[in-house]
Order: sequence, then C-alpha cells, then structure tokens
Amino acid sequence: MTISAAPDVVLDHLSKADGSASYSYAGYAVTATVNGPIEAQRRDEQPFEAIVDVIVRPAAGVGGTRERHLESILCSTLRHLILLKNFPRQLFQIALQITSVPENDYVNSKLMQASSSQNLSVLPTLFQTAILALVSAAVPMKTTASATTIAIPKDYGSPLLNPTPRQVQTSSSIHVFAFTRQGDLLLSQSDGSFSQDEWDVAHDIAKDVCMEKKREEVDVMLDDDESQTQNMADLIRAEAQMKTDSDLHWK
Amino acid sequence: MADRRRINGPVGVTSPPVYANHTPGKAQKDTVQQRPDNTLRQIFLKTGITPSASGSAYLEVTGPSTNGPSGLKLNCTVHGPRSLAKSTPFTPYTTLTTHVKYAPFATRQRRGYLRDSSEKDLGVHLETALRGVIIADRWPKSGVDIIVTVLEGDQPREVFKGTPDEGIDAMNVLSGCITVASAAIADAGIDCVDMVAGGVAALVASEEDKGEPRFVLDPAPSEHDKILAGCCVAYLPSRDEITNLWYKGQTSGNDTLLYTQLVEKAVQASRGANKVLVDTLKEGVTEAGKQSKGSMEVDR
Amino acid sequence: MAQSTVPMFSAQTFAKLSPHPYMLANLKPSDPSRPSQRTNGRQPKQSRTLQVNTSSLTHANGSAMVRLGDTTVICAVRAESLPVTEIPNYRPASSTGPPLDEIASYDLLVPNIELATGSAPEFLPGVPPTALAQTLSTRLYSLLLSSGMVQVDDLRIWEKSEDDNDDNMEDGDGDGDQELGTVPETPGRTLRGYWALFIDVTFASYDGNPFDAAWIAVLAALHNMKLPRAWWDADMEMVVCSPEGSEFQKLHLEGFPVSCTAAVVTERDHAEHSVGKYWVLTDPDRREEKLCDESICMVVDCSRRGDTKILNLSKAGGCELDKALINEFRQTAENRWQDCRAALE
Repeated sequence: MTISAAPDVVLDHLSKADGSASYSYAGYAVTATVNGPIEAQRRDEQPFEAIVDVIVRPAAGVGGTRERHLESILCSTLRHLILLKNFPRQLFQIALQITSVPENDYVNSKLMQASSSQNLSVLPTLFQTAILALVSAAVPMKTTASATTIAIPKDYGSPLLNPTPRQVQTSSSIHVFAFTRQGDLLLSQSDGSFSQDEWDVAHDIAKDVCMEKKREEVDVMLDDDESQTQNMADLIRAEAQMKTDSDLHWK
Repeated sequence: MADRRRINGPVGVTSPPVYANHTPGKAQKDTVQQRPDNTLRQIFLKTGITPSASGSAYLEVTGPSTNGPSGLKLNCTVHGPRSLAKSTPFTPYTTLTTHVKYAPFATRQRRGYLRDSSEKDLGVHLETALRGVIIADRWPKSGVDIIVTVLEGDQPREVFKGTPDEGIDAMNVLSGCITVASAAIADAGIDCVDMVAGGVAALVASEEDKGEPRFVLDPAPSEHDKILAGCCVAYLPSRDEITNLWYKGQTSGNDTLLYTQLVEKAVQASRGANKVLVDTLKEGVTEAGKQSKGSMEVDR
Repeated sequence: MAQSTVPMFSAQTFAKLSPHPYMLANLKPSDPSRPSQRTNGRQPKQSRTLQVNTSSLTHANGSAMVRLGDTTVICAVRAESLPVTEIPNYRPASSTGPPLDEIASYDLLVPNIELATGSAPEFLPGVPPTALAQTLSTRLYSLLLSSGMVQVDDLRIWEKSEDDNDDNMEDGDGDGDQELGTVPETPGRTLRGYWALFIDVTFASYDGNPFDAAWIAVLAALHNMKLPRAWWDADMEMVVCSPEGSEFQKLHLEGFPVSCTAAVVTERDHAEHSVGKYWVLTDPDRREEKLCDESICMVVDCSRRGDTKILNLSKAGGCELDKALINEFRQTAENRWQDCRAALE
C-alpha cells in the first residue's frame, strides 16, 4: 500500500448540499456534506445557539456503536470551532461518508466492531473532511483546524506519521491530534500503552504538521511538498483561498 | 440480526455453563423451608437511591436459603409528574407509564436487552395495581413514569427438584415491584389514597406432608415439591381494597372456599410487606427532617 | 452564598435558573477570603468517594456495585461457552502466520451499558440506547481490548486432557481424539471452545462521570469473577464444567488500568475566543457535565512503581487543556489510581 503523494481535495462537488468536500489521504477517503444553518427540529432546538449534528457512515455496512463514538468526538470538537452563538435555534448537519479505507492484507478482514486503533486512524481524515466541507459551505468559524495520526512503534523506533494499518498493528500506541491553525491543542485521542514522554514527542510532531507555519505569505502548491511534511494547515488555507477566489471570480 | 446500537457478542450460539455430574437432588440440602408457613422472608427497603429522579426505592428480599445470596433485588425510579409531550391529547388525569425490565444478569438464563412478553405483562399488572392508588386528577395533563429494574429475579442458582414454576417466580417479582414502586411513589411525593403493597401466597404440597396441601405466605418455589396454586395481590390496608389480583393454579373451580382462603393469605402477606414499607417511609421522613434542620442551621 | 447578588432567590433557585453564573459565583467568589469551590462543595481536583461492593449477584460469575457519589453502577460478568464449531470460518491457530487476536476476532468480550433505567430524568426506557450509551459501550470495549487486561488463555476451553481421565467414567474420548486429530496444536490438547464474557453495566443512578464509574465496576467485577474449570465432552458434544467450588479459577488479569475524567468550565459561556479564566473539574457531576464543553479522560496504570503507563487519553471539545495542563492532569490521574486501588482491595 502506498500513501498517495499529496492529500487529494475536491470541494463543492455535490450540488444539492450547502457545502461538500471529498478528501483522501494515506489510504482513507471521506466525502462530506454540510447543510446549515437550517431549521432545527422543535424538540432539539437550543434557544441560544445552534446545534451540530454529525453523521458518520462506514465504508461498508451500516453504522454501529463505533460510528456513534466517532460522531460524538467530532461533534464536540466541531462545536468548538463553529460560531454557534450566531445561529440560535438552527442546526448544522454534517454527514461524513467513509468511501475507502486502506486494505490490510495481514489482518483478518472481518469487520471489527470496536477495534480502537481502526477507530482512531480514520478520525483525522473525517475531521479534515468535515473542516473542508464547513469551509465549502461558508459556515462561520472561529478558526480552522487540522488533524493527524501518529503511531509509536513497539521497538521504540521513531514515531510514524500517518501510519499504515500494518504499522498501526505493530505499534505500541497510536495518537490522533487536532490543532487549530494558531497551534492550540483541540483534540487528542490516544490509545495503546505509552508514557508521558512519548505522548509529548507525538504532540510536538503533530503540532508541527497541523499548525500554520510562520512564514511569509506564499502560494502553497499542492504538489510541491513531500507527503511526509505536508502541512495540514497550509492545505486548508490553500483550499479556502482557492474557494474564495473562485467564488469571487465574477467581480 | 445484530443490534447496531449495542456491542454484539459472538455470532455463534453461546450457552450458559453446564455442570458435570449434576444430580438434581444434590443442591437440595439448603432449600428446605426454614421458616413457618405464615411468615415472610426478610425485606430490605430503602428510598432515595437515585437523587436525580423524583422518587426512587430499592428493595431486597433475602433468598430462600440462608447461605446463598440469591433473592429478589429491585430498583425503582419514578419520574414525574411532568408535562406530557405537546402532541399528546388533553387528559384530565395523570398518565401512568410502567416499565418492568429484567437486567441481563437477573435470571439463570441471560435476558435479552429488549423487553419480552413476560416483562410487558408484569408492566401491565403493575400499572393496574398502581392506577387505583394514585390520585390521578390532582395532576391533569401530566405523566408519571415508573421504571422497575429487576437486578436479580427470585431464582436459585441451581435448578431445583420441582418443575420450575415461572408463574410463582413472576408473582414474587410482581409483588416486589408493587411494594418498591409504592415506596418510590411516596418518595416522589405523589398523592395516593393509601400505601399499596404486594403479597403472594401459595397452596403447596410436599412429600413430607403426604401430599396434603397447605398454604404458605411468600412462597419460594425451590422450597416446595409442588405448587398447586398461587395468588398475588396488590392490597390497600386502610381501605381494605385489592387493586390487582393474579390467581393461577390447578384447584378445582367449584372450591370457592379454597380460592378465598388463598386470597386471604395473600392479603396477609401484603400486610406484612406494608409494615416494612411504612416503617421505611417513616424512617425516611424523620431522616429528611433531621437533614433539613441541619441544612437550615448551615444556611444561617 | 449567592444571595447577596440576587437577594430574591434562594441559592437553589439561582442554581436552577442560571446554572452557569451560579457555578462561577462559587468558583470565583466575590469575597476573596472565601476559597474557590464547586457547587457541590468539592475542590476542583477533588473526586467523590468511591465505594465498591463485589459478589452481590447470584447469577453472574463476577459482579460489582460501585458508588461514585450519587452515581451508582452495577456490573455483572456472565461467562457463556462458545464451542469452536459455532465460530464461522474457524481455523485453529497455526504456528505460521501472524498471531490472531482471538478475543477481538471472536468477540469474546461483550460489554454493554444500560443507562435507560430512569437513572436520570433524561434516561427513560423504551428507546434504543442513546448516543451516550453507545459511546460509553464503545469506549469500554476498546479499552478492554487495547489494555490487553483479559488473557485469552483464561478463556480457552480444551478437550478433556489426559490427567482428567481418572475421574472420567466414559472411554469414548479416544474416538473423538482420533477423528479430530487432524488439527493438532499442542500434543494431546485440542482447543474446543472459548468462554465469552458478557459484561453488562447497569446504571441505577446517574450523576455524572459515567465512564469512570462504569470502568471501575467492570474492573472490580473482572477481578472478582471466577470461572469454573471447563472441558469439552466429546460424547455430549458440549462444554461441561466442574461444579466443585474449589476448581473455580480467578482470571489472570494483566495490569490495573484506572480512568480519571475531568471537565473544563470556562468563564464565558461559549466565548467566541475564550481568553477568560477556566477551571479543570475532576470527576464532574451531572450538573457540571452539562456546563462543560471540554473534557479529558486519562486511563493510567501505575502498577509498576515510578513508571506510569498511560493506556488511553481522550480529550475533546475545547482548547483550554494544553500540553502542560495534560501533564499536570496526569498527577491527578495517578492519585486517582491510588484511591481506586485502595477501594478495590
């Protein structure tokens, strides 16, 4: 299995949703749609803020408990980013369809109900797609954020960025981080067995990947970077820029 | 079909442990009746264990054998009276909803997560028992939810000698449900005409008595060879009224004396449970009084 | 407490009408001499006391009742036998090929959480498990698997071995052995089944912090449980257990993971760019949970002195907890570990 050199992003490709995005990276591919702000159901509505509804659908079969878990993580994280106070009694609906997961030839292909490592490694892709779809739907947000996965191998080797399922299998712990573009830790999900030091190392690597680089305004070309050093914040910024450019093209 | 909302077990069929050399007479030693026919097993009742509910109670009946922990363990929560959903039509009375559910680990056979017909049946019985007790027109347009969780059904660990009588087991559970729900309703401060309590009596025959039937209160099925008939009542002592009656057995239809006698015995059992109920509530009231006094002092 | 600012309301009314300012009024008292405390009277880092009772249920192999303040949880573990003939596409583990995680592949651990017992006004029965219940079940399940606490060896059921034959009256075993001898593993022993552990967690009362309470209950029930000695009876074609109490075995559990949860309350209710003060509240109750967006849960194992292993870390919902605070929170989790260890012994 090879990691495609750069993340692949398509924005606004679904016409019936307010916003949509497809994102694929490291073998995972997710399509997302965002609808909102729309009217919330009477029984769910909040008088002072908008509610966020996240739906995750697996690549195969119907969703189970693990999708609910992913939804709850994503929902609480996205709630922090969207300016909910501006939309009382409204609803933002974010539907995420996993379209492909990397195949793992070594493992029993049986669908695991709650394999935690599998659970976590799809999370950054889901998160990233959700952010892109929110950008595409022009939902007002405090900031953007990006996420990444890091695995720490059992043999105390150097931490692996965007590990393959095989690497996840042979690692002692796996960490998912999301940072805002300012570098605030937004989300951290870790599983396995690790020490505080190992977590700290993983944290710093992830921060480097997810945080916007302090450099002069540059046109980030999507295909000029190595996959290993792909900066996620830059990616989202570039996409947002391209979108605004095309949206304001008529001017 | 796998349940998408729960963690599912193995696809294949699993079976509870089967024990080797299991002779159905072996585990009998301690299941001989150890109390007189006209006494109840010990009841432990406590209110207010779920503070976020309007009212709650926990009931425990000691098992038939003194050395085993088996017995009845019930947890009841009461929510309400509270406003009904906007879509429900106007009602001048309190709408009572009862829900009885066995925990998966409550009986010898693992229970499913969804209510089966016997659990729904218990719920209906409980509702009938309570509907006549609550002063329903005090709270128009509102609903009360009564939820009883059976943490442990009244069943011995081992299969006993007689044929398992689901009927008596269910009656014992129902009687417990009525008593515990009554305590929880009182804890919730919902107006009632009287304190209702459940009671069970049975007509049993055993080899020791040469097949001569006799009445027992609060029967434990494992203690008897054969249960001819059973009766469960929900009884209001100060009004001398029965709100729910459940009779099951093989007595002949024309022997009405036997029938009334059995009901009489069940009422006697209910009076016993009522004493425990009233004592518990009195205790709760004095304790609450002490507490509120204490907190008032703190406030000052 | 807060009567001075809103004199016409009692503290309780104030708490109900306006929970967030009420909480802040307690955490940030206007009178500086008064210490900052939570609405429930605890200090920010103070957990509720833990009470654990085990073995109170008859029909379970292991059970525990855990009280964490007003959160009451009952956990029961029931073992049921799963013959390998019931496992679809079962292939005996071979020495070649990667080791198979039997516990995960055959779903031998089945944890489920039941909240809908009226344990709180929002959890009424008659509806399918809520997203919260499903999330909790998933978290329990992934922690059970990833911690590797349950050893698959404890769950294996073998063909009746040679030394058992003394007390065995039948001689039919031989035929069965030959017939199935085509798949030998360890000489003389054939794996014939597994124990599947159904771990059911029922909430009797819910007052916040469900995961910690549920996990401690699971931990206590697993530590408390005993499995009968079991073997495969070839004649009856089923798994048979020894009724002798002395032959019941405890599980050999690996490690002692304890989870610790905290929630973060910010000064400004959903501030657009929160720069205000915030408090990290360990072991939040129901009222606090509702007011907090950000939460952290850390599962630590301090069994080996001076070498704290973190088994799970889950933080979501906000930006207040940074690297330094998480490092600091580990201390709280380690203290919690000591408390839980003491409560379970």
